[in-house]
Amino acid sequence: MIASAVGVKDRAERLELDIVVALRSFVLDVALSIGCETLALVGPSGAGKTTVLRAIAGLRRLDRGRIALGEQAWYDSADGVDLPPERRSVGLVFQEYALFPHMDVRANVAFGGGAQRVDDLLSRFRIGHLAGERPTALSGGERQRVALARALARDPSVLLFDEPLSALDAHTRGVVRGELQDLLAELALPALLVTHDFRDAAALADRIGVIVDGTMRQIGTAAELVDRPADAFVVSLTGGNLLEGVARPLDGGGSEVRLADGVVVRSDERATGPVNVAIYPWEVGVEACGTPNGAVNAIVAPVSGLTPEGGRVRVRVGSLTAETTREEAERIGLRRGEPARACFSAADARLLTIDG
Amino acid sequence: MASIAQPTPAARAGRAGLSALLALCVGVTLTFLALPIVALFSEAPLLDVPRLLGDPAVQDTLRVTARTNLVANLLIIGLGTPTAYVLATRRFRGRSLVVTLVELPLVLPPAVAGIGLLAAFGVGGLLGDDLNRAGIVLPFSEWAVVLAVTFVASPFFVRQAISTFEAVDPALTDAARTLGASPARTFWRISLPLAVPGLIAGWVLAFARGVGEFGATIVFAGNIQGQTQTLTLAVYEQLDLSFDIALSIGILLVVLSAGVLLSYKLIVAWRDGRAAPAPPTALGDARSA
Repeated sequence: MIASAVGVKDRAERLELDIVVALRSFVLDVALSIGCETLALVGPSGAGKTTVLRAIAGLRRLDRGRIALGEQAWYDSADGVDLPPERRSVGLVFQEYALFPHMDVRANVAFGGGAQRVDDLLSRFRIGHLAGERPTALSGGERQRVALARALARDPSVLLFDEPLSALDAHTRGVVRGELQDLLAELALPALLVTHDFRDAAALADRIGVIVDGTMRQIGTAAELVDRPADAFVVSLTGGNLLEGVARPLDGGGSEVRLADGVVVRSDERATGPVNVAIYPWEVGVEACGTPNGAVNAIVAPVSGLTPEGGRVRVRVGSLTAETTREEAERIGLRRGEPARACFSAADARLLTIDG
Repeated sequence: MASIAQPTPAARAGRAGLSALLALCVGVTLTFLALPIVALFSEAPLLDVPRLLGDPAVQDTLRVTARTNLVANLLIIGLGTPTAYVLATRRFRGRSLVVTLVELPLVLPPAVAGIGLLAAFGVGGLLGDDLNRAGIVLPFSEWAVVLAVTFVASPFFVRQAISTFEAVDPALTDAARTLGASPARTFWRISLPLAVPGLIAGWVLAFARGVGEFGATIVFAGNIQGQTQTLTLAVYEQLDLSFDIALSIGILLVVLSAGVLLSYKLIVAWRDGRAAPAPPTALGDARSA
């Protein structure tokens, strides 16, 4: 059904880009190749994520590089090619949707052309009953659907999303995230979405690129980023713990890390000198003190925070965040202020060397 | 020692004195501003006003004023809108200098504007001789009135138009471009419609200034009945001929000015009312951002 309304392409082409542009305090230098997949660019604000989107859409002047869809170059500094935005087949969904306030929903969707598709799109996105409304009269979720319908009306070959969920409240966010997931899967177009939220990226994208200060730190699936984080930023982005210390290789393999507070933990990885120990909350077990325990690494500290999240609880033990089920937390009798023991295995303790 | 809750008699007296002083200032200001208007209506032979305005000399004046202001306003809107759009949307070296030039007539004494126009287009002027050879004589013609009004009134429109176009959220014009619209279509379908209320507000001010033009006109266009004499110039001339006619024209202009001011306020209120509940991308937030 969506195929008829939205027009799935028989053979989507790859979007290739390799761009360089000087921003205020750093140079954005990014190369990407996006097939029929959704790639999320994640990073702190001001990292250059939105600039990448604007460059692809032709809204941002570049210093040099190349952007091409299949065989067609949209921008090529070597050949002097630079197509204006209206000649690039992109559907861009703006952060605050940028719906035209002086047009009703139908006119917004029809702006990109294809009058006949408009009805299909309105019904596909369940906004047919809103056709005569002005954007001001719509809820956040409705505006998002209008923005999607409008972006698709032109039958684009590439989809770009700038923080597609950030303008929504927590409740709507979950619903829209699900809708967006379905849409991206069915459209099967090269799609690039920008977000600062790793969970949104993990839910929507096939691959995630972590971009900081204009350079790509790491690119891979959500699972790959968690399993083998390239640096401390990726660890904190993906929700992991970082413990700073000094590593010393052990004779029998692995290393011993003396943390800042004097506690010594062990890792199966080998490293020397200043390191960050990365452990994810779900790899950390929590126990009451005094329970006999065979774990290699244990940090004993007062519980400084208990945050329920659905059926699970995030427990803060000293500087370490652990995750456990609610039943488990109640069984152990975790209380704020009372000491507990956070344990993790040497296999889960990844070591990331700190340079200079 | 006086308690904190109860002000001392001296403090109370001081506060009362301040209130009285403020009331006096407000009273004097309002009286001073209202007095000439009240006098105009009380001194004029109100019942005779329609007949006095029917005087052939006044009719000539009305026609000249209407014609010249119509052309001047068309010039201001026709040339000023694209100029304002360019100045609002492009960043280039010397832009603030250009904007200052556009605003200069606001602070220029009108008589200076008139002498400047004369120096530019008059006989022996910068362009005057070339125009003369081409058979075009501007000074002391109806076109001189048009130029004087255009020169003096244009900044009221252009200034407002620049800030109006600047307030159009760039995300909206960007969105239009990615949806396949050329720069021209983006202007006609997005920027211009969103700017219309602001443009009207600017035009209302320019219109009021144009109708009230006196100094530049009398220097550059003279005061020739049927050719260059506008309503304000007629007021000046009728002071010696018929004070009642001068008063009648005065009443006409007061009604016109009040109408213009009122419509300006209504337009601004309408525009703000339209922008207020708008989504984050609409005019309202773009201005506060």
